[in-house]
Amino acid sequence: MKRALLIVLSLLAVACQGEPSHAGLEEPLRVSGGFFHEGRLPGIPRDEQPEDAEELQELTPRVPVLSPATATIRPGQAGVALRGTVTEDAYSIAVRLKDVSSGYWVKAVGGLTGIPNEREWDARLDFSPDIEPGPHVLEVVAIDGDGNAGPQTSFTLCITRAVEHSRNACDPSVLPPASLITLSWDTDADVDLVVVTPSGVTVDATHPTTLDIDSGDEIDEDAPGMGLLSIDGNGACRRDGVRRETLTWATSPERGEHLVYAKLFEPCGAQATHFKVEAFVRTAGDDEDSYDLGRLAETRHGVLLPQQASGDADLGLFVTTIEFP
Amino acid sequence: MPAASAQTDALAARIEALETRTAQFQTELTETRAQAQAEPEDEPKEGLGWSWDAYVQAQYESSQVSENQLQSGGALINRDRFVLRRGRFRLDHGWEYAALAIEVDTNTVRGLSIGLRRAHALVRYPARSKLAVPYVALTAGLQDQPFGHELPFGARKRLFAERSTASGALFPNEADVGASVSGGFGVLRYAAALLNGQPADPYLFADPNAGKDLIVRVGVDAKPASVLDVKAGVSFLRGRGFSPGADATKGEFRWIDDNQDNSVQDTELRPIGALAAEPSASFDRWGFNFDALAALRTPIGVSQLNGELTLAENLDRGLFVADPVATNGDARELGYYIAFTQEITPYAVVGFRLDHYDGNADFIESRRGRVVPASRSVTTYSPVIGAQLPDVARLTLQYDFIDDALGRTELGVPTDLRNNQWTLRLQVGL
Repeated sequence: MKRALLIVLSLLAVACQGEPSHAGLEEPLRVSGGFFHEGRLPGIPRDEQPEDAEELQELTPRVPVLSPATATIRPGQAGVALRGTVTEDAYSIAVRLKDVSSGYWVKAVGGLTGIPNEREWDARLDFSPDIEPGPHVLEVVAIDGDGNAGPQTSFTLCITRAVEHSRNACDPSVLPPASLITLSWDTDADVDLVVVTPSGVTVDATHPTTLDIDSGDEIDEDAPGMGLLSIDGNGACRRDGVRRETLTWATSPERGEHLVYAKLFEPCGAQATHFKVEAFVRTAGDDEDSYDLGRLAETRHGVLLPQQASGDADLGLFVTTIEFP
Repeated sequence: MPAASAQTDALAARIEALETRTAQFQTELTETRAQAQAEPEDEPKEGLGWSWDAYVQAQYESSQVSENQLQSGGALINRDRFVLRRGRFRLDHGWEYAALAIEVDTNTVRGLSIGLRRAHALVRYPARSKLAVPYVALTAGLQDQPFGHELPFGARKRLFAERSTASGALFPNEADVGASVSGGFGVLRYAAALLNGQPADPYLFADPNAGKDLIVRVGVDAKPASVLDVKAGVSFLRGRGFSPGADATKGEFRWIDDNQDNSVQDTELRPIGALAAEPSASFDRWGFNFDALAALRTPIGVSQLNGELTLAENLDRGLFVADPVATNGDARELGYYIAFTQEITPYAVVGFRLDHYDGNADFIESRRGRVVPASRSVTTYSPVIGAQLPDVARLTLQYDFIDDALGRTELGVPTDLRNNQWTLRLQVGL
């Protein structure tokens, strides 16, 4: 009986051991080739580190150099390079986005660099499309061979809005677009945003501006009231992962009613494509000389079925009318 | 007195008749035992006339790695699910010197799949006893691969949910297309098969190279006592694997957003020249296997102990997939298992299997700028319990404790990943 109990307990012990498996796909930050651990980032937080620089230098393992390729990130941006060095005693680095990650990513460090007593490391960061716009703190810590983590190092990144990529989400003094209409969808279908302006110009993937370009004149992007359409999302069924088209006005658009259509150009194998149309306008910020982006109209939802695919035949499904102030 | 003499003669005649009948019974018993000894339990059932067979294995399975997400490319990460693991129907017809068999398999492991499990034609020179293994049989078509005990044994009779890790890695599919010669003399068994050697995607049952896999197994199948079965054998495989080349590519411009600003700068446009096609290449592979089994009938049921040891080179086609052309080095594989099952009355059964597989004994990886040896071994401990209606239905619960090196510690060092799994399976067959 005792022997049987011992066997059962041994099996239970085996069942409970091992690193928890978690692909980390639901995380706002993902590290290519890294391994995700749930829980608090190890190491000494910034506010608990000694203020004296020399005293801080003595704490190891450390991250002397932390260098992201860019400080401005679009939601869904992938492959952002993050490089740096660690002190020689480090075995790995741990990375997370402060306050939003539910754990941290571990990546092994590389060999010694030309700098004395330092090793190199690098990571490729992928950011979730659902990440909240605004400033986010990226924290990195080095871990030595005994599992001890040193002082945490941080860097502030700006995550822009999905609908526009100015830094206004992080710095209200930056001017966002005056207005925009955006269409987003949930499949790899080739869907087009079509807008008919009050003066009767039809804006779509083949005519991506509110100006009358049929006259042959060059597009002046700074012309007052000119709207410009972003990329042809999933054009010709070439999957781009963005699944969004946006008509943006840098300056106030033409007054009057804009008719908005969602056109299923080609289903690209999708059964049902759910979409939504949103409109935003620039508003005043909380402080003087600050700006924000506010929702203009109620979000409109809909669904497009393969039999509605119309190519260039018509304007597509009428969705809503938007009138800019 | 004549009456007494006649009675004595009559009794003597009866005794003689009884002795004759007893001798006949003894002869028949001896022949029956010999036939039973000559017929292995897992022998294909190509007897005379029509026969058919069907069974269904439906299960609920759960794994610690399960997540409600998709892998890149769309494969499911969720492993908590109901699965039709096998639904098979087999039809056989046998004549004295020939036989055929067709077996259809359907499952929902990766969505609904319907395919052939076996389809072969057979000609044979039968043994004197119709129940015995033929002296020689030539089989052609989609058939079992005679490598070891577990691979051709059959999923219906196996108590454990799946084959051992090594068997699944080296032989992702139980069958392959080719021709074989097999048979037996007394307790001796032999088989030699020439097969395409591609029992795995992307060339399943096709063959991209002219080299064929030769598999040879020689073994014994004996009943040293009426309550004891003993089987053992050695198998060897030699063949040619295939490393696919690459198509030619056109030259192109590529934009690489070095500074991640989502804008194109001149320095970020890179010309990539056209590349010539890369030829495919073939490589040598081999495998050696030793298998042994002992089954003892006791008053509480059959006790069975069996195991296999496999050594191989460049033979992994299902798990770590050996390609010495791409890696510029041979992969040496080692696998073994030992399993014990015990019937407790005809209606209950328990079992335990220890299963180990090392997909590359020479695997290395880079750590802190240095190349160090690393492990690719997977060890699985699988206790199983079951209730059964003999030869009709079986309900089993198996838990797999998996010890591997697929996780990473905080130091970035490989460690065991928490990926244990369990399977609750109901099997019913005709």
